Amino acid sequence: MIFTLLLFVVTGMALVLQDFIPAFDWAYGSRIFLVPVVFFACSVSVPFPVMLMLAFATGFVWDARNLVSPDYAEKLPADVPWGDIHFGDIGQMAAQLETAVPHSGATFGFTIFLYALLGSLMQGIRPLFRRGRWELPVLMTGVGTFLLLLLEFLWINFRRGGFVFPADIWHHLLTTALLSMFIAPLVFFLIDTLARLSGYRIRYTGLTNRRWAPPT
Amino acid sequence: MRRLNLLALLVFVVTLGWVFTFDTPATRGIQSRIMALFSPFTRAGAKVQEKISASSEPPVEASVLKAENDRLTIENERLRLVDQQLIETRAQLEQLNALFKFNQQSTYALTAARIIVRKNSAWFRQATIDKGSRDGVSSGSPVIVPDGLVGRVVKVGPDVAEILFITDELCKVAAQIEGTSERGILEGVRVSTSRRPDLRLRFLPREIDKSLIGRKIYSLPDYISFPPNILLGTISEFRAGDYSTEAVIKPAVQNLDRLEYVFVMGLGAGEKPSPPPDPR
Repeated sequence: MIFTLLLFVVTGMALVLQDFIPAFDWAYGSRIFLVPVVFFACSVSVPFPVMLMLAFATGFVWDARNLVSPDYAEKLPADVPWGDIHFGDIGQMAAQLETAVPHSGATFGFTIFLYALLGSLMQGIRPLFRRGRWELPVLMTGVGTFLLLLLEFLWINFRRGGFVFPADIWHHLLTTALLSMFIAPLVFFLIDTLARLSGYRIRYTGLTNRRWAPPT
Repeated sequence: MRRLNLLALLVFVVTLGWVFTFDTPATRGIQSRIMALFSPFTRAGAKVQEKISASSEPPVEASVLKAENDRLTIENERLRLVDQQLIETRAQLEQLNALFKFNQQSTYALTAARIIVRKNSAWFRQATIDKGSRDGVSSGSPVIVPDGLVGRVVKVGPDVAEILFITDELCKVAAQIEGTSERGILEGVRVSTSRRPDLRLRFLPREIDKSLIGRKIYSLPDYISFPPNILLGTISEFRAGDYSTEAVIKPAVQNLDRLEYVFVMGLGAGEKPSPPPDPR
């Protein structure tokens, strides 16, 4: 229980810290994505129901903080500070384009779904993490970050209409995943330390691979 | 899979389905509350960041600071004189407008704000400013600097607000090429790894005069979302499409990634111009 609460606190801190991590010009404008790394590290150390709770909380706050949902139309006609309204064709078109629902970029809650999906993948390597083998969990953190961004981008493309897939996108996704992977060992170390301090023991229940389970 | 896991999955799916049913006002309400919840941490983090960056800068000599202060004092006095002249000119203009029954052009309040955080979402170009609804900032308000348009406010909390930069694909501005009647919609690009991406002016006529390269782009006079005649950028290239032409635009505000201060436009109650005196 204490460990679970600590994980929620760590995730909350990651959400605050994320805002202050700069983008790197030399890495195609990529940046370290601390929140997914912390989530993935947490999801290998907790049971499936707790992982789902964590996915819900993280995705919910992430969407609330980052999703852009333009909604200007409802206030504009009553409160226009710059003179009389004359709807020109292009002006009206621009207003419609930016307030149309499919152009809001993403759906609120979609990140929750992505975190739950990728967190379930991470659940499969919990036994390795318990044994102190961090190589695959660290690699999976990079893969998870890559998939998270890729799926987000594909969903935005789908919602906005018209697939745009420039070559730069691969550089951006790969460098972001690699940068996030570099800090993953630190986060795993933090989670492992917190587990030891709070007397938490990682168990093999639910979504585990029998071959990796230790002899009872 | 254990029964508890199945039950947890079921509860999760139902809750997620409920979240997916949120409409835009509900989403914006949640976003405002979460923003208010996080704003103390964001502001505290920005202060710490500021202190760290200030401590890493070399100390400035007192004589240099005094010289800078003197220069700014003189500049301030000069601007106050200019401002006074502008107020008089505006009063005269309002009288003339009333005489000739022209449409009254409202003035708008400018709220100076500091960018405290550059948002880290992978796909949206945003920043957080240190002014919110308590300072009169409202959602949809345009954000400018003397060089031109920066973007618009998309989320508002009590003490902070988030702006969407003009370089984001979601920020669309109806624009006109200077000296012509050519109009189009200006927007950012969906993905760019450049820190200073160009903009696109879309829906221009198929046959457009290529000599317009180098002309400036302004917001439309009859467009409701932004005030008229705000400088948006300069045409650098035309790209012909199947049905329309697209112009590549260099943004008027080139250093969006380095901006420290911006002005949020709004209509403060105290800033509304008083009705001109009846000429009769």
